[in-house]
Amino acid sequence: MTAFLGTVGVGLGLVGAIGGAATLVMALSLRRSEHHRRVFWWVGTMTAGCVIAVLAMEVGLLTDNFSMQYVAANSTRATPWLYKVATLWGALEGSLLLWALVLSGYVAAVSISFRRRIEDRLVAWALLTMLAVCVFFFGLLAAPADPFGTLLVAPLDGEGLNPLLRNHPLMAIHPVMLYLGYVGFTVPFGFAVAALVTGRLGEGWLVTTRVWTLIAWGSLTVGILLGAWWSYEVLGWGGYWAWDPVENASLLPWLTGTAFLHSVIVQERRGMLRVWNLSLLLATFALTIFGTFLTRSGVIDSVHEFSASSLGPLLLGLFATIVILSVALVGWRGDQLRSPGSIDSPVSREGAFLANNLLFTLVAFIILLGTVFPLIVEAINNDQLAVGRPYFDRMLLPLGIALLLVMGVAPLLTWRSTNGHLLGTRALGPAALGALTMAAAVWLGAEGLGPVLGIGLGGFVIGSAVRHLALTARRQGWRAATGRAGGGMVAHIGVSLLAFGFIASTSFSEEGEFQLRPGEGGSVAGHQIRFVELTDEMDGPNRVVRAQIEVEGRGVYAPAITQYPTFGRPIATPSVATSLVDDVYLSLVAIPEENSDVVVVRVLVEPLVGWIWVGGFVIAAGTVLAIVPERRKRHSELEDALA
Amino acid sequence: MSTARPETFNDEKLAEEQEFLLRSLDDLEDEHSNGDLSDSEYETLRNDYMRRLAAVARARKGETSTTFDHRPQSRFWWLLAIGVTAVIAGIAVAQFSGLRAPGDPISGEIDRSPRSRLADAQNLFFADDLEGAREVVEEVLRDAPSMQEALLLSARLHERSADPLSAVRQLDQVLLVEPQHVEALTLRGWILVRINDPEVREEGIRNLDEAVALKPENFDAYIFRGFVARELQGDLTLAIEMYQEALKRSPPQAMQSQLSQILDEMRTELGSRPE
Repeated sequence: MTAFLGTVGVGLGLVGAIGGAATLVMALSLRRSEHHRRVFWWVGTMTAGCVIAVLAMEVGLLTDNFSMQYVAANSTRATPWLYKVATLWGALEGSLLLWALVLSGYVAAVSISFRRRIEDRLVAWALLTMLAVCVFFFGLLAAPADPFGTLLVAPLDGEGLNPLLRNHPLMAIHPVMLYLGYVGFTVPFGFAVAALVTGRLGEGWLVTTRVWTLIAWGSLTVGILLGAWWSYEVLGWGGYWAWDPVENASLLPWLTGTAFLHSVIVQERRGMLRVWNLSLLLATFALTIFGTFLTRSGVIDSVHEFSASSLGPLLLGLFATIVILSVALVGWRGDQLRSPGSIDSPVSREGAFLANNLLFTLVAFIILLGTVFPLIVEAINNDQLAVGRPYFDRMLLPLGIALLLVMGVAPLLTWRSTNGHLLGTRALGPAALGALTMAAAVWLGAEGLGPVLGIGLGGFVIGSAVRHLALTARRQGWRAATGRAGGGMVAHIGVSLLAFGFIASTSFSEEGEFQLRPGEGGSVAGHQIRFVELTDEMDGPNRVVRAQIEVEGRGVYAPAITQYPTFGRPIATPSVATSLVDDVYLSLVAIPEENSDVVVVRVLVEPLVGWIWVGGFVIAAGTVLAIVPERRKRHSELEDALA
Repeated sequence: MSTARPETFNDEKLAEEQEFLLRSLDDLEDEHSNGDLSDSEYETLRNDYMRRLAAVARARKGETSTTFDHRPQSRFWWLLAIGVTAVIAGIAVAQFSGLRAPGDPISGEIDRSPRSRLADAQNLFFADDLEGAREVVEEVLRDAPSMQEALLLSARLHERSADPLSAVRQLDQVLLVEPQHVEALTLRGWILVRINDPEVREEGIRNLDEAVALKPENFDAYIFRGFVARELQGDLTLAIEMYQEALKRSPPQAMQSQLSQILDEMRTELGSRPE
């Protein structure tokens, strides 16, 4: 019954999406206003259908309904309820169902938000584009990725997910945030297509979609950072970013999205970079589909990969369609996209935004090349290659430093043109803060040109952002931190904190590995650790070996290693003694031999890792503040005179 | 190379241009009043916008046809920059690519400890992928040259590839640090007793005796010592004692039956010998 309800829900979703799209096609071709309004019903049907399907799946998971194929394959009776709920997005079909839910939610929200402008051709085309994407995803759920398949004989218990996906609460949040970001870019993409189709290529549609773009970008940012945090807390290798292809896939749309958020300001203020902005937006959406293809087609091999599936060609087809459609539309409207303005001087705010965009695009290109190069080589001559971490680290370090520099300089520049004297005067305070930060870092033991320079530039960026906020606060009070400029400056501060954490933890971490008996200890980077005792117990069918380890001044921590009967290798669960100064990261290297109380513990001391998560929180706060409208005066006497 | 290209705007375009210039003037006023622009910069930019605005207004009234010159842009330099970037990235990606092991991701890698990489090497060794195991263990030894378990595995790999000298060198390194390392003594002894030189063989037997004297929990040393006693020394009593000790240490089932069979044979042989 539950599976049947789910199938009905998916069917309703598909019918709603097709009906809505067909209605809009008719409305646009017949130019009949009453047709436009009917789309609400179809969107409502689609959303309701999707909610029914998701509820059916959750009921199936929570009630251990193993007659449902998805539940039997991905859940067990012993799975705690939180992870049962999260199993919805733990495997291929369920994750597509979540995708459809988020997409339906966005389409419903856009329909409600633009209900008074539903007859506007721009809005209608945007909705039509979004509904076309909905048809594709509901189509996947209806046939090749049906989550509601049933078994003739229900097993007594299910197989369960990969244990890595059910041993940390972040698994319940990280994918949802990521999907809110990924799927959210469908909205600006829809409006971009609509603007190209209708030829309304001014700045109006950009202002209309600003909030949606910010929501998608903010969610993607938080989703990526939560993923990094999950990796840090769960995988046990002590890092949070490995340039894994799936990590790269989530970073690519973020990079083009970030470039867009900056360059769109230039278009709104100066009417420039129209083709560029449209291209960035179209590329961002295309890259979200490319990321989906990477994670669900079976072309890569990583912990994120769910399973090889037949969806690969379909997703690749969607990606190709988006790219071809985008190029064709931009080419078609090429003449109308020519901007009325031009950059007066490279030493100006718009010049800095352009530099920022070039750097972001370059970073995206390098990451894309490093990710797809092995796929291309394999397709051509069947060689299985991997692009190592040094490629990403060495190529991106100078670009990261350049981005920090531009991030610090841009708020000090004026639009149109900035003379050297003015820039020098404005840069004095932030540069002093940067120099002070650099000196403090060296005094605390930092070494190496790259890391020290990076830390100094982080200080410079903070100085520059604080200066901007302080000056605006004189006129606007607390509202200085709101709006795109204020929220943006808060986000810049967050990025700097994140940069401090990233640089310090990757450049100055120390590591030790100890073979210890109870009572024995060791020392890493001034932190004394002592092995207290070993516990070896069964948690349901799983054997859990836990070592109690005392970290001097921080307390007792318990890294563990679990042997799952249904999973080959044991899974280590690290334990982290966190502080704002440094993290002491403890993990067990292997299950101790039988009747032995000797453990091998890996100890990593990583400075300022906590700042990465704090920085992420500040960026999220900055995004929320950026959504709050800023106060801005407009009106020109000239306008009246010319009228 | 592109040249300046005059372009005639239609009314829609002119309206858009006018809107843009009006907004720019608004922004300019704001920026000037905020102190973002000096007076001279403000004057220059304002005059430019006003001139362009007047031209647009005249064109909209049909008094003149307005043309705007776009600045000549040198696409050559852009193309050159893109080309150079692509070449650098191409060289870098080729330089930092390598063959991918089964199960590895196509990009990036996790910084793993020598011990966890050693576990991979051991798995490869047990799966009979000796070349793969050798690659990993050599990498581990580069990072941790005195890691005993890695030296031991490396010695096993040398032994399997018929390079006893290198194997013994690795084992000597282990024994230098821990002279009573049972596994190192056992393996060293087992390698040496198979070399056709009486002195070397004697040293091998001494190593095996030292290992057995340490009463290891593992059965290897007893089996090797038993084999040497039977095949090389003809000492069946010692061989029986060693195999019995090995059996007490729960070897795998198949080995247990084999050992029991050999024990029976030896007991029979011993019983049939004249006193």
